[in-house]
Amino acid sequence: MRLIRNKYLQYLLVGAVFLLPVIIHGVPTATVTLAASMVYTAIAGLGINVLLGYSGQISLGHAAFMGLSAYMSAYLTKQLELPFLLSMLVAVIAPLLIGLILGAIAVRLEGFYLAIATLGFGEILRQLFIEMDWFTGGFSGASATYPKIFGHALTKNGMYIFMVGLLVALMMLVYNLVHSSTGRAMIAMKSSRTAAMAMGVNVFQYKLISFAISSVFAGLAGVCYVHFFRHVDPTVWTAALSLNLIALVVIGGAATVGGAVVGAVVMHGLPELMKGMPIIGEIPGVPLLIVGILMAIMLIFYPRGLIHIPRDIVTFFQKRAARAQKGDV
Amino acid sequence: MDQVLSVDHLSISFGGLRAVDDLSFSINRHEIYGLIGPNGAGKTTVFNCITQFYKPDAGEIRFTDQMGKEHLLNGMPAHKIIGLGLVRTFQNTEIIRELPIIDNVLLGAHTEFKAGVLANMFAMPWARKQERELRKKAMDVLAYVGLDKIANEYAGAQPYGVLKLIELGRTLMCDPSLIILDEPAGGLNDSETERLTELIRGIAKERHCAILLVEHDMKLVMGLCDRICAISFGKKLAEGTAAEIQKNTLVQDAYLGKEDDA
Amino acid sequence: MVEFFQQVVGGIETGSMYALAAMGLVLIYQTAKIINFSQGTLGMFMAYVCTGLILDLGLPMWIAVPVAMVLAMVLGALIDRFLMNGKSNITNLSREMITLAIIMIFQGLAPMLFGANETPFSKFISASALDIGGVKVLPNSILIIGITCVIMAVLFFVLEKTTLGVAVRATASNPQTARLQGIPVKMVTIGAWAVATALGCLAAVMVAPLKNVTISMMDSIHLNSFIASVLGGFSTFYGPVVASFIIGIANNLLGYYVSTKWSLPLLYALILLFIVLRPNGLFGKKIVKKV
Repeated sequence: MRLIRNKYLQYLLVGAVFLLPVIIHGVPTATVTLAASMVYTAIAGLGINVLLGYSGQISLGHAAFMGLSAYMSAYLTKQLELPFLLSMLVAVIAPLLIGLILGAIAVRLEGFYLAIATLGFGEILRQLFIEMDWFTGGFSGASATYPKIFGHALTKNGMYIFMVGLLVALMMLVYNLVHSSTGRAMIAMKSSRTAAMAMGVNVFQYKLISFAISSVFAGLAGVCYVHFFRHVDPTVWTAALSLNLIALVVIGGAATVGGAVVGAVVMHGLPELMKGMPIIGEIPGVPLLIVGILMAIMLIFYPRGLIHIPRDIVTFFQKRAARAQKGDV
Repeated sequence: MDQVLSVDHLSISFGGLRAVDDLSFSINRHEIYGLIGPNGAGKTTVFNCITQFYKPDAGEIRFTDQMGKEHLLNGMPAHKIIGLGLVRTFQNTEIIRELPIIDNVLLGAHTEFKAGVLANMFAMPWARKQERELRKKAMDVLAYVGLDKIANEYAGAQPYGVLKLIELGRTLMCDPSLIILDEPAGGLNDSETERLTELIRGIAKERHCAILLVEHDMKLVMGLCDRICAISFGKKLAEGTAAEIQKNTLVQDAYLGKEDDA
Repeated sequence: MVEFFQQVVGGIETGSMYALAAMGLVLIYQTAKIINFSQGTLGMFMAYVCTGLILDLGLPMWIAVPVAMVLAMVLGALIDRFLMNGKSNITNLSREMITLAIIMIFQGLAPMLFGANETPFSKFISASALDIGGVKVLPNSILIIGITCVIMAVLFFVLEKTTLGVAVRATASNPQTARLQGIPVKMVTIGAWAVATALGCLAAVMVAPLKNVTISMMDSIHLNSFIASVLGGFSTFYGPVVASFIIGIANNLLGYYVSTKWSLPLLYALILLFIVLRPNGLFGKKIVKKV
């Protein structure tokens, strides 16, 4: 029991589960593709969780950061023929810098300014993606290949394993962050700006830090996307995607590390499930509707997110057992 | 006796209302100083001006730290104040409900942590070591205020009296030279108030720090404070020892009323 | 010179639509203290409803639009009553996230109930353009600007001169005090949501002829109403309205004299710069938070 409590081990276990599709033989490649969608979404969601769940800030434009890094990595590996890991690093610096600049302006102001600024920024960038076709390939998009890491060319499954490894590593990093003075400062900032300031937290700085972290994670997710799906075009990076990221964090569990993973699984898994169903699968707009309803229900009735269900069930039965022992039931 | 805090001609207005009007007082090191006045007299506003949550319209606030260096607090960002050794509590107990009690107390030591974002993310050994050390200190503080048994309980689930103690403990983490307490006994019953009085007295004596407090409980104020300043409508009425204040007619008219109104 | 006025008139027309949406935003922000991110989506949904009233029920435009607006008011009231205040201890952050969920819900409902095809929507008045001193102005545009002015006048009259307006402004200034004074704050927010949703509906049917009735029809108005509220400052009712017209006109002028592609990003950049220098917007007042 103790061993399972150790969070690092839990995350490795999650990684192992995600690796099942490539380990078990005979699993259709479509499953790996679906799982890859969940993984890259979870990576971006992890960043949004740091921004929203722990620091309480809404961003409506993170899809733009994902797209920016995706295009950059495609360009750097294809046109400039930079090695993959280096290009990933460089591709992530762009959202980091932009995130810092945008954040520096917006976080001085009230919370909603960030939401509005990121909304506008996301729209402008989406337009730019279409206009700057020398860089992005315009409407037809850009392409990339499965990367080469240390001279070893990856297959589709190889890229997938890399992504899963990245996700697990990032989960550990976020766990470390949240259980440190930085994490405490962010949570304090979300809950009571007054207390945070009085205890010496430079709220401006920490808002910026959480924004920067979230934009880096979004960038990493974008890089994973373009090197797995090997193609990217402007239709992917919409405000709807940014909204989806927020939704999955809320549904899965804000202010938890695993919440992003749970949310990503639900977000991608649910529509897949529904496609199979006879009537519901035909009607357009149903997945969006269900996700929206789920998000609203979570926010109103179960704000801590789906990830808490197992523990709450256990606690419920523990309490009943305790009461039974005392003879109250 | 040297001063730890001096407030000179402090004034602030909100819309047309003069909330604090040309107020001056000073606090000596190791002194327990009380600020009293009827509701709306401007006491919390004074605290907010001192700690730079509000920017005063006029007046200067000077603070002398442990090293003997004097600082002009005016114009300082609010989050830099605690670094000088000046820490406060809030009337509304600004407690982080989502965190356990010990983490709330640990927040008080935020300025002590040397680790930055990256060091924390990568769990650098020296960062973890400091976290362990400060966590131990937080447990000691919790033991001092009597909350060590519930250190890992969530703050959000605690009754009001416990929240007040958490806030009090939180102030001790930075080894302050001046603690500002905003209605520490607010909402506490008699036995809780007595315990609190003993705690405050102990803190002032053992940790060699001055205390500035605002309270409505006259028994606590008169029993605890070395000196008291009485204000009304933002203006200073009188300053002196408990006995002097009680005898002052201006104060009696404005606030104390009959002898046995507590 | 003629072109200048042409662009200005066009800008006033688009500015009108931004102003209606922005007014809705600021009404809810002032009374319920949250940003309603779903303003545009709800407008879009009601435009679909209005289209349904016209095409399926055969109602004429001048009946369908007011009916749709009334339905919008009901929808807004229900959202505030049951989603925003369903449970009493929701934080404002959570409420804002619920408005995000509302976006998803109604963007999912629209194609489900009304089909995924784009539907055309006719203008209020189909008459051809009048020529006023060389400037071509559609009667429809005049009507849009006129309706907006009348609505703004009515709203400001109510806010400034009536007891209801006092109740709204009191709630906006300090909900707790307002409650103590006997003002039914719950009703005020419900009313604000109702009016705001109706305004969004009106803006949507105004832009419908241009963009057709589709899911993304309100995107441009939605975004610009936010920018207008930022520029005008969220702390007054008239600020975002004035800023809406500024943005409408400036966008057209920039588009004509500089470049249509970059007019909007350029405008946003200018506004961003402005906000850095004046964080409270054109008309905003700095509010000291009580600690």
